[in-house]
Amino acid sequence: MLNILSVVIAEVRKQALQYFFQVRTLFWNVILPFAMVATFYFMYLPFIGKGILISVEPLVDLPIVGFLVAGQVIYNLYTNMILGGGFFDAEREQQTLEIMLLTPASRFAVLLGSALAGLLLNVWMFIALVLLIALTPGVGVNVQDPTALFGSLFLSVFSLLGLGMCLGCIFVLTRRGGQISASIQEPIDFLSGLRFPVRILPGLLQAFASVLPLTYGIRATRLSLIGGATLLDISVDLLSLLVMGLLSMLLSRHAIAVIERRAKKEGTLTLF
Amino acid sequence: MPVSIETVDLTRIYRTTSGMLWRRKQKEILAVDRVNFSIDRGELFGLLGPNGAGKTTTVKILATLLEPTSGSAFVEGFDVVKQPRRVQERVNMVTGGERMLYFRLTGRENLRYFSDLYGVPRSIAKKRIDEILEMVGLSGRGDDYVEQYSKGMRQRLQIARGLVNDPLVLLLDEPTIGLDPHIARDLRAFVREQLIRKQGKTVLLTTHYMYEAEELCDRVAIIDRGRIVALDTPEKLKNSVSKEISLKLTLVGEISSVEPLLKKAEGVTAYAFQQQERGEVTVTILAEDERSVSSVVSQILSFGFAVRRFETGKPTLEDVFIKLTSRGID
Amino acid sequence: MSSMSNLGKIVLSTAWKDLVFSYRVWALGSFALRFFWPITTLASAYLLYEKLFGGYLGTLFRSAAGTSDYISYVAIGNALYIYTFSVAFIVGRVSYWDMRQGVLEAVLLTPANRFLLMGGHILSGIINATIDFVFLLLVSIPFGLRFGKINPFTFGIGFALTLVAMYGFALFINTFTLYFRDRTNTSNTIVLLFYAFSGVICPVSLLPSWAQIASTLIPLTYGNMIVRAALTQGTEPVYLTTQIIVLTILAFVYVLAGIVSLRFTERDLKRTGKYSVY
Repeated sequence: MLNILSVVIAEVRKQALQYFFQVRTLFWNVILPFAMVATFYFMYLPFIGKGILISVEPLVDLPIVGFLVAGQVIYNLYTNMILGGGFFDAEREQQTLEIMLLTPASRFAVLLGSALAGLLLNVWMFIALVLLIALTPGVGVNVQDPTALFGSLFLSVFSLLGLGMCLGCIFVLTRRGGQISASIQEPIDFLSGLRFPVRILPGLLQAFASVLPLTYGIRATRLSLIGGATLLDISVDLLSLLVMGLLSMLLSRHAIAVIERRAKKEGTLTLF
Repeated sequence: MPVSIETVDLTRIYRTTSGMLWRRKQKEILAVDRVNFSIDRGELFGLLGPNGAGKTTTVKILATLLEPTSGSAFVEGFDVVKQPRRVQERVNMVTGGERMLYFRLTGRENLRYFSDLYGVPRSIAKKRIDEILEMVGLSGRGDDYVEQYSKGMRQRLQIARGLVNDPLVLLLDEPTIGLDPHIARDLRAFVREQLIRKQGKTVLLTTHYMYEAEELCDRVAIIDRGRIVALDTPEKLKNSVSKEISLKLTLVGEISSVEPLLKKAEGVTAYAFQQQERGEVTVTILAEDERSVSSVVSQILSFGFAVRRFETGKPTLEDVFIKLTSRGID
Repeated sequence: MSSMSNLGKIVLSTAWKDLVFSYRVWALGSFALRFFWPITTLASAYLLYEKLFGGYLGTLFRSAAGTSDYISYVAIGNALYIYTFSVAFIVGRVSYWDMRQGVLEAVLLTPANRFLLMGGHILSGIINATIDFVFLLLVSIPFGLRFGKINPFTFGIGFALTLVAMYGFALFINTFTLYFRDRTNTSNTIVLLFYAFSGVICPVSLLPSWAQIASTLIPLTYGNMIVRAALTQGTEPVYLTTQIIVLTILAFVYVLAGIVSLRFTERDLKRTGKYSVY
């Protein structure tokens, strides 16, 4: 257990030292989220003036800016998890991936550390965004139940960690990991409710949206941060996040061993 | 012979930073320090020195990839800073290691692309690429992706890339590093027979293998800590220590216990150490004469040092380096 | 003549290399990205318009956009944006990608004209973007894209000037990503800002005032106005004189900034020697 913890800490430290104090982190975590919120807000302007309310089930009206910003907070957690998985891409390019896998370190711990490092890059941005939400007129932070907000954030992080670890496996398996991750990003953006409520998607697409942790994370955070929801109101979302997080972590734990063997068999560890 | 390469007080300082935020510090590293040399056309000139001596920096300045901090350098009469395009048309560079190639292109595609960048007419390029691939022994693998090549093959393709524009001047920066001995030997033969004797190119070779410099070079400049400490033909350089006897011992012990002994030993003109594994140290000694050799060996034995290996012979370029710097090359 | 053919060879050879490389390296991701993005973009617009707002457009949209055909408005805006994305985002990181592969030195060792080298990269970006452009327009038809009267001459002016401006922009982004050692984050962000503020999805006059100020500095803003007018109303260039003049000035400024930054890039590398620090 201690060994796993030391590996996780070592991995987090390595990634944080490499990527934390970089200009690109500022773009990734501050300017890009702002650009995305602005883009989605401008998408609504042809239809309305300012001050629109968006209805989300259960039937709660949320101000558009708060709707978008709350979603962006969770989305940025998600993108930082992808970033964590993407660290393996950089390892592959620098040809340090095989050196990492040369060690007896727990692969699960390495994956977890990478995903956590991605989260760490996000923390200070998250705080800044929350302040933005609180201070922006018309956004209307409305937290009636702090445990609901805490629960939605915590379980969003938990489930996205699992997703980040699964993505890390893909990056180890194939040098096309980056492409796969980039390819699925657009459909996930579209289906997750980041831009508009999931309920306006056609039935089949709503079914796809229902298997994405991001969908539940965004919904729960919106409702608890802006919509005044209680723990009970978002209980289904929270339970979904918990189950998805556990399943994805279990999956990645078993998958990484198989994937590593396969990558070594095919000799793809050093290719980029 | 006309001069092909010339440097005048060439100096290069690297400025680096370390630490973050309030702990950020700037540091200056003097990589090349007022280096002066000239190379005649058709000459194979060696730049010999240990890692970090300034060899690669010097070569990159001549290749126009780096700017000197002060001083100047000329290739075929063109200033590397003021007339870089003219220099680039006449020069090419091959480095050791596996980079400077597109891994997802084939060998032939790589050469074709760089031929185009050098402005080689297509009709000439096609023929030349075939010839070069034949010359470097890759004609059967020219249509495979570089990522499928072995290390030796990538290095040979690098040399092929270095020849696509038929340069007047070829800069070889440690081209045999990491290669198998027989491949390295073939490469040296290629440089000597093809590039110098047949094609009459000017070649600047950097290396830290003194046998390579001895075998190939018309003249050698020994560089240490950015400064040229000696420049002459390999024979004349060795003659500067020819009266001395070179002695190489591998002892069981630590540098700190052996050094005081050598400092006091009579007839020892220079020495250098290298700590090895398993508690051994290799000592290279230049002694005035045979009597001094006997004396220092006796003292070593009388102090109880076990001698694992003992070699003596004529001085090499490494001995020249030791005499000039009191350090070994590796 | 041979010198002209040499120059052409640098451009074509570089474009060829990029295309071959991208299809070998990025085949899967490239196809998926280019397949999904136009579809989700148009689908988002369609869903907002039909499902969320029941086909109702705000009263100001018609007067601001000059049309009530929202889907066509969005489709055409996105079609031109594709070129911005391809040229600026993809091309804007070529030097950094070369650095990561370790070939940057080999390329800068050659006497090849650097602007032509970048021109080759941009040509490959344009080829890829044209495929996506056609695909987007085809995908947009079932969602409701309708062309009105088309004026090819006006379209050509707007399109060409926008591309020239994006060439300069790509040079600048290339410097930025190389200097800050970042392949995607910075360029991704900057092109998204272009997307938001240049009237791709919403008429500029409907944006908040601070956003309108930003949009005046983006060539794509004027490119969108000219191209939309050309493809939906068949407007003659004489009626778009102001937009054309501003776009020309911006194109000039962007190219100048790009040239300066490209020279800075190589100079900085020669000064610092950081060819393989990433």
